[in-house]
Amino acid sequence: MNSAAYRSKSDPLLRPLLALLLLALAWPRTAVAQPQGVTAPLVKHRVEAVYPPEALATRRGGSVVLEVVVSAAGKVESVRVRASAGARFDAAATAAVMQWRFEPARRGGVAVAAKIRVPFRFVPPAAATSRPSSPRPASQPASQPASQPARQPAARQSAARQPAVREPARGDAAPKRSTSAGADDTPIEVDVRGKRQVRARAASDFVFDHEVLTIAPKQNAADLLQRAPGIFVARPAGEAVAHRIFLRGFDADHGQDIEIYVGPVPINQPSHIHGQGYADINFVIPEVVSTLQVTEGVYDPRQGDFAVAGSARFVLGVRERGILLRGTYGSFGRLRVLARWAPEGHPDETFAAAFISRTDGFGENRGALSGGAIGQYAFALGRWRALLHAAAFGSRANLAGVLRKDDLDAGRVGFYDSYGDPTATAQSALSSRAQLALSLERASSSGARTGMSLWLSLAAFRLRANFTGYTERSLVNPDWVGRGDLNEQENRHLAIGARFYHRTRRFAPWSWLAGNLELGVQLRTDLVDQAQRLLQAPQNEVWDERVDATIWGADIGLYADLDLRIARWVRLRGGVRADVLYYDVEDALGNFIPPYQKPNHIVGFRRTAIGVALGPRTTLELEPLRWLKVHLAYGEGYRSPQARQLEEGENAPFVKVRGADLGVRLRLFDERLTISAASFLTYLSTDLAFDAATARLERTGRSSRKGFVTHVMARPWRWLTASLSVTFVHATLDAPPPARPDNPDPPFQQGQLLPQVPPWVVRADIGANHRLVRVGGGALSGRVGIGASFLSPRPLPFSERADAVFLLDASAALRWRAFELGVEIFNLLGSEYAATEFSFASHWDPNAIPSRVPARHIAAGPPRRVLATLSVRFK
Amino acid sequence: MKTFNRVARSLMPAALGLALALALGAGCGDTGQQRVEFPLRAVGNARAASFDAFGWQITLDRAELSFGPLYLCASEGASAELCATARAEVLAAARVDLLAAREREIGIAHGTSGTMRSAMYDFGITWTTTQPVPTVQPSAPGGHSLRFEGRATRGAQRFAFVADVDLLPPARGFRAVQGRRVDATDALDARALVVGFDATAWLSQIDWDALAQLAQDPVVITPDSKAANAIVIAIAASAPPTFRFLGDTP
Repeated sequence: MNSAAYRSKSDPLLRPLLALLLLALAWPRTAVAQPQGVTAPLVKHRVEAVYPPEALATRRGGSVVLEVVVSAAGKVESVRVRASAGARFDAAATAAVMQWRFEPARRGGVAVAAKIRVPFRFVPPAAATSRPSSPRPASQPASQPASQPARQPAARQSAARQPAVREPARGDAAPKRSTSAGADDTPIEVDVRGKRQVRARAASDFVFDHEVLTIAPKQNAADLLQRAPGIFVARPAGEAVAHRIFLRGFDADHGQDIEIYVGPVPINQPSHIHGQGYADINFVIPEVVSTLQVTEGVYDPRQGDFAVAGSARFVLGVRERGILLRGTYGSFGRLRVLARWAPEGHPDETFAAAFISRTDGFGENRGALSGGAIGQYAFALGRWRALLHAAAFGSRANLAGVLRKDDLDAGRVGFYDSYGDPTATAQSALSSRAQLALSLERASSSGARTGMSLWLSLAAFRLRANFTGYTERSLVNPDWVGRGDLNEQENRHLAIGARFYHRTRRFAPWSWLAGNLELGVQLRTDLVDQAQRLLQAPQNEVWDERVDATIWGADIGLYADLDLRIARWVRLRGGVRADVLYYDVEDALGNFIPPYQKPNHIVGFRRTAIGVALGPRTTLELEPLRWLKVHLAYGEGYRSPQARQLEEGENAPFVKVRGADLGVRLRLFDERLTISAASFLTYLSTDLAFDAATARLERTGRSSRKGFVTHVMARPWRWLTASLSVTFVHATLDAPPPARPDNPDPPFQQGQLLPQVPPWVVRADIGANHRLVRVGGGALSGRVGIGASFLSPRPLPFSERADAVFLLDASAALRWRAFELGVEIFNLLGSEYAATEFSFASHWDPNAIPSRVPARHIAAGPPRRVLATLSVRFK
Repeated sequence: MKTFNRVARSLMPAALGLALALALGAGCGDTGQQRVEFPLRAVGNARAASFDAFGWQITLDRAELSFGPLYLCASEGASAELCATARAEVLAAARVDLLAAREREIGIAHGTSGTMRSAMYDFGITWTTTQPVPTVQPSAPGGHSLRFEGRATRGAQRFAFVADVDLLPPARGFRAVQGRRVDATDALDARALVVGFDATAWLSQIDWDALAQLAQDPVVITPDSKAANAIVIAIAASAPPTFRFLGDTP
């Protein structure tokens, strides 16, 4: 149904339903301009093919059909003979077409690569009397294209043939069926190369495109994650520390339970000193994120380490070509400057962007400065499509740290304050990252696909945080106490990895059965140098050493993924994945010799361990109706162990996750309304929890989650996009935490709730983008967006509950020609909320007798902030 | 549209029912451990008002000590390292009249549920990690952990005495007494904790003959004296305070 038809036929139920459900804005119903379709390449420079002199003797003629890939720059990227007339004719045609230059194909005004079919008809010179163009002397052997694809192929693309050109976002890279030759028998095929379609593995498998991602205000790429149901992102430790992510019943902390990719590079860092699977995505520039794929659960054999609660993949690209300069200024001295360049004539994946951001912080000791750059270049390498990706980032931020709730309640410290002690004001974080990747992919016309990527990342991390005040005693010299528990964590990480895969062409042994098989290998090796020590502020003298280790680890993952379509409405996908992980740990402080003990060895403990994680993943998809899909999925995933906790020769104890998901997905009204609903079960063999004394994650026990997630996405009009998600989870600890000398039998009650996990997470986004009036020869368009997040009161240790959180963000902008002026308000209601809460023992008053009973601590979430943004775009 | 109506009608009641059921269920359960509090009571030994100590009749006019802070721990041996997180605690030091025959509440223990197995505590003089020197708490009688005033009599021999005793933590961040075992008790079941002090046993450790030979009246027992040290040893080792949890059952 086209847009006009849709507007004229008002569904009696759809409108009221959406109006009620989405609180649709009262907005003029004038449709904005239709998105432009895809135009085929236009020839700018043509070189005629030369009749092969060797063929003159036989005076033979023939037709050659070439399949030509025209790059986004308008150059001929590759040529393939689809119909041969013999080697000489083929060579002549190929030689000619290689010299052609094109005005590239365009989709929505953006240049894209395209594949066209160009036929040449060779006739002997004597017959060459009716060339419609480029007449030659009769003595010159010549050829001409059979028709005029090279001269005006796009002009002959009739409107009826346009639908054959698929949108890249949903397209299939495989060649399309040739379009009709038309009245003049011009067999031009335009096949705009698209991204591979991501097929849902479960009902709670989501792909968010650029329009959805830009609905509501966003400060950083992590905010984009909140578009996915059940995800809430907090930033309790400032701008140089990874976000804390809650996902469908998991307190994924800084990434321990969620596998994150940015482009082709995995971000999670195994055995990170601050937390297993630490994933810092502060370096991602939201303006270059084109798509976000979120898989909640582990049902895809490609999902690897840390895909416990799920996976998220940031796909980078810029649809709007040209130069973007953007400046933002606002509350608390926030200044952000962004420059983005997306050269015309190149695909979306080619761009470069850089930013600098600073803030004084919304309270004491919260100033931050960061900067970064991301660039990608897509190009052809023979028959391979290549993508070069590079990114660099650095950030330093002061940390206010946590505050005791009883101090807040007593007014001893303000909500946005920091303790005034030097050991508190010295808290800070520094992080940096650089990564480089090269991806190659080749798709054959048969549907087979081969790809590989190589990547390298370097990440440095230094955190100085004091959670507990003055409780620590030096192990090196036990007389050293009371100097402040300023834990410095240092982590330097070099990772190199690769991925290879091959997907077979579609096979169909019977009419009712078809499918393909993908085999893949994912490799990575990690070199981690880490330390933890206690510092005495303000001179940062080291007064104790807790960790000094070097870890060399590797992960070799193999997977097979079978995709079968059985009959028309049944699809079975899945396979198995096996990961071999090994570790070599050089623990320089192992076998520590206390000061009171006579040394009889040299300090240090070197150990190795290896393990295998094996798990099936499978999805059954039923499609009884065109608009209805039912998904049943089961999968087993894993989380690798923190290497430093391994013993010599230990069979590396992976954390095993088993999950099942049953749901439905409805695509109604030409997919203007999509609804998904799923219930899920997840069992985790060992959970982790934050331990304030060590500022690290420590093992707790077995846990499980049961719940459901619903998501509604509506685009009732082209200018309005809205989404609503509701997630409920009942997360319990199913076995007592491991015993320790200081806690020989940790209390446990069957069915006790997991701390930190909010039972309810609700997220709503609504955004409108509309052309308003024409001013000064240009269209003035407006954009508004609202995003709302709700977290129900979440359980804390000792039967306490953290308060509910409700955050409302809003944005509005006006755009005229190259200029856009916008305002964004975060935490519109000015909620005073805790970004995170803990419960542990601390001693922050040096003059008081120290308490050793756990107390509530909070890290304040940011208050209301208003930011103004001016953007200028150049072509 | 009809199809959509059918789907909506069929899904809506189920979805609402499921949501309601789960919403009601969401409030159930907790995170296991619970906050607890119970009174801390102290009791002396009435017999201490007058008792025989190796032939010496000791009559006490005053016997006081300062007790606290007290930490009750999950580990078998409470210490700074093995009790970084306590099950329960009484932070304020309180003065205890050792001659009182009846229990008296001296504080409220706050903590969390779970088994308590050991205790560590001070006697009115603390030395926390942030205190450069041991610090006397306001409740310390005369600025000391214990103070005894009384008379010692054996036949014709008679002298008054004043004893000041200090129990000092051995180092910064330590308690004066660590690793004191208590009957394993879940804090959730504790209705009260009664700490008993036996001044009779402590004073019996003093070499009263030696004090008599000083020919002073009153005899002043200073914290660094042998007599004071004997009391310290008795408190820490031979006659430590007793801990008795009172539960629901009588």
